[in-house]
Amino acid sequence: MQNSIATVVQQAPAEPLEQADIQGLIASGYGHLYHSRYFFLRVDDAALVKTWLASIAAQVTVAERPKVDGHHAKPAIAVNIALTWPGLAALGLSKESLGTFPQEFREGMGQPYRATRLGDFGPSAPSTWEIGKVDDQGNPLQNIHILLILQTPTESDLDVNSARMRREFAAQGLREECPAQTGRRLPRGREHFGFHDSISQPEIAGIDKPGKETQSHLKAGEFILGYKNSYDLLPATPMAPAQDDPHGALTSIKHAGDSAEWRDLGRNGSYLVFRKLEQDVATFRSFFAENFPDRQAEIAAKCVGRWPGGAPLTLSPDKDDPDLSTSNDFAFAETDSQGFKCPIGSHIRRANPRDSFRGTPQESVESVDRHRILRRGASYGDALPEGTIKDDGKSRGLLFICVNADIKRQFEFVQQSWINNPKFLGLYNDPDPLIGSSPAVEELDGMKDLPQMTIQQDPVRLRVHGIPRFVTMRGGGYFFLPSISALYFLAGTTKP
Amino acid sequence: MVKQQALTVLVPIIESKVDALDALLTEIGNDIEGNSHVRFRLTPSTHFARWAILDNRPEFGPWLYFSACYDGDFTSYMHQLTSNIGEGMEPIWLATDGYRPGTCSDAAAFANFLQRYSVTPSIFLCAFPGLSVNDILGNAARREIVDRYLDSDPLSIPRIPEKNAGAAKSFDSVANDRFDKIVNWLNGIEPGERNPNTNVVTDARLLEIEDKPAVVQNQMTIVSKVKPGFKAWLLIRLFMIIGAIGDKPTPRGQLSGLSTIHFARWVLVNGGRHLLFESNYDGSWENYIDDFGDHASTGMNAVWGCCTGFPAGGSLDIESFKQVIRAHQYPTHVFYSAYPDLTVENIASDRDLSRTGLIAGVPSGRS
Repeated sequence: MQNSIATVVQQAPAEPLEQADIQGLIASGYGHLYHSRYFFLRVDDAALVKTWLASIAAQVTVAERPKVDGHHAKPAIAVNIALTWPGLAALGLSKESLGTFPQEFREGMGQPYRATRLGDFGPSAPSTWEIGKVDDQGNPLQNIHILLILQTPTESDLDVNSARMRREFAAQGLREECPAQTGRRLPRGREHFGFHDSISQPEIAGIDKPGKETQSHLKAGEFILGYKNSYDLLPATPMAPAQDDPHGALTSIKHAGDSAEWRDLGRNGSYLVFRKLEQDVATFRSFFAENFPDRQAEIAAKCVGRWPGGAPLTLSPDKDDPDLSTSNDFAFAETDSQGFKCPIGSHIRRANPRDSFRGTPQESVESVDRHRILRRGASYGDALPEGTIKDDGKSRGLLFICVNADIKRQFEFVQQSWINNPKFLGLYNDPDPLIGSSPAVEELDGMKDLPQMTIQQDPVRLRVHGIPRFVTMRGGGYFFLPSISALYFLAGTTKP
Repeated sequence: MVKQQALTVLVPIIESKVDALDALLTEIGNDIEGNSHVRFRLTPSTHFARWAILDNRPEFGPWLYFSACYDGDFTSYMHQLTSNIGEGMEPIWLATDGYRPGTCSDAAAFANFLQRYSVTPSIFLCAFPGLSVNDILGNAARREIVDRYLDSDPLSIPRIPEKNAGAAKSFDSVANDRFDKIVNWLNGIEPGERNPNTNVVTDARLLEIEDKPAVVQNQMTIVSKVKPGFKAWLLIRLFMIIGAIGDKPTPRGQLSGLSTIHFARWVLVNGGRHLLFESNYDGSWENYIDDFGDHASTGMNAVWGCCTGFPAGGSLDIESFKQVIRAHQYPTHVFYSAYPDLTVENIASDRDLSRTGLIAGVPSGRS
């Protein structure tokens, strides 16, 4: 019998969510909007930008969807907006308020000690980034303040709306600090290495989506501030002193042992992580073709944990299975605890260890559920033609975006303790074979052994040696994804 | 079978020498295997060793904290330290009060000096009792030889039967819901709804020495203040007795329900006014503390619950719990591990492999 995740997890009683105040990107990846553009803006004139922000706040797509003929209508285009900590400062947020944001958000993704934890060294070092470049001492060389995300159904819609946005930037005191990024969905739900992606994705309790029953439904506070999280506590939230909010855009907040009057700046908001991850498809293909000419597809699938079509190895260990292309109804503990089907070190088993992490299956799911992220990214660049193993010199990859209420406990934890950890679940020297980062590859710290991938099999395990870097980090940042009310507050006004 | 022991020493530092000592220890810590002063690698009985300056004046300190986890008896270990690294340690101990020049080159005198300032841990946790440094490194070396052999010539050998991991014996495993409630009631902990709005702030120096690339082990040194009054005095001793009796490792080296602790200790210091916690653990700091919350929250609520600043909601108010740990954590200047690239799980697997007889005849290549 399959041990379904849905049956293991206790369904959290859903708290009612203020969906009209929540940015739509938190609730949905907008699967029907195939094209996206990401603008990285700098505030030149705070007063003008505030006016612009108020007009954008009215255009931002929200989680709530109007009902048309009894169905929730999908938005024709989507606009979402997020800010960095320097961006909040540039808009004039008070020091007191700025101090209530978490350390990792204040410091940014490119801080030297943080970069080593995230695996951003060697060719991925922050000093080489195209977006949010930082020098080796941690000083920003680019000042990204605002991330504006535009998603449209067609390429021409994207260009028309981009042109309109750009006219506003120029007129409203904004400058494009880094090149805008253009994302798109590749055919058949694939990413550039050729695998069906974004199959497993937690859902937010309280936001109903038909057809998502096999996903784990997590408490809203894992992804939205102002609601209970997996510890049954309210996540830490940024605040503003009451006198900073004369228009009453925000709700008031009280907490133990503090008599000061605060407004809740975080409520209905979240945090967004952006990472431009370049994928070296030619190296990926040639590595498996040259080293495993007879088992090329199989070994690559073992590294991923799913077949290119999406079928999980735990359910279909020997071949791809179109009937399982979007299957998420599986776990590891009962039928695959030793990794003989889906290796322990494979990508999907690290990114979501399900019920085979630590302790009993139930305990494992509870621990794992404290470290999940919502992925909202898109691919960029043209696909390398199928069968080609020679590099064409073009840049392609993933514009990785994730949403979480606690960057440190969710995104950073997964990246550091699961993806890049060479000792994951008792392994010896095995970082994530697909996207993991190892200092050995860059020959840092005189590490002796190159990373490997261990494939559990009979009669003895197969070790895949000398896995090169397939993915290189090209830049990004940490952003605050405010609620609609908070956007109006930042614009110095209130929701009309 | 050789026994593993803990050495825990706190010596007052001469105030004018704190800065110079800090610089010296930092230099050693930055190049633990290659520095020209003290190389613990020359002392084959040392599993882990550390030096840290604990300075929280006027509450306590400055103290030089020296700790070691070692194989065998104290006297032999003193001989090993004095003859192999004695000379190099001299400038370190010279910065402390009451140290007479030359002492650390004389085993008997050094033993006397350390004993004068040593404290006995109330709880000393060891993942693999009886496993010496030499056993651990030997098993790993043999495993590497077999691994390389199997890469080139995979034999048709049977799969090693999975060992029953055994139930973890720990504070939390002996604890049941009622016990958890009693602990919370005694320590005034009220889990549940609250909004502490804690953002963990971590000192840059702590971050700098943790989670280095290619480093799989980490260290933690925490000094908390025991709550004043007879109740806390009694409770902390009671909980530590329960912990010392109840916390026994599983065959896979699991301690307190966690698979990431090599050695740890709880020590009442400063006449019982403070509680020192030292851990030598695998993986990231975040992972370690999350594990506490996931698997050992009753034990944390019991022992640390007797200390000031402990979150009112207990260790499952995870952000406040992390904040109180960070607030009481001290940078470890020198952190030595005899096997820095082996995790507890690796050591357990290597030992399992040795026990099968499969690699019993394989020479480790170590002398």
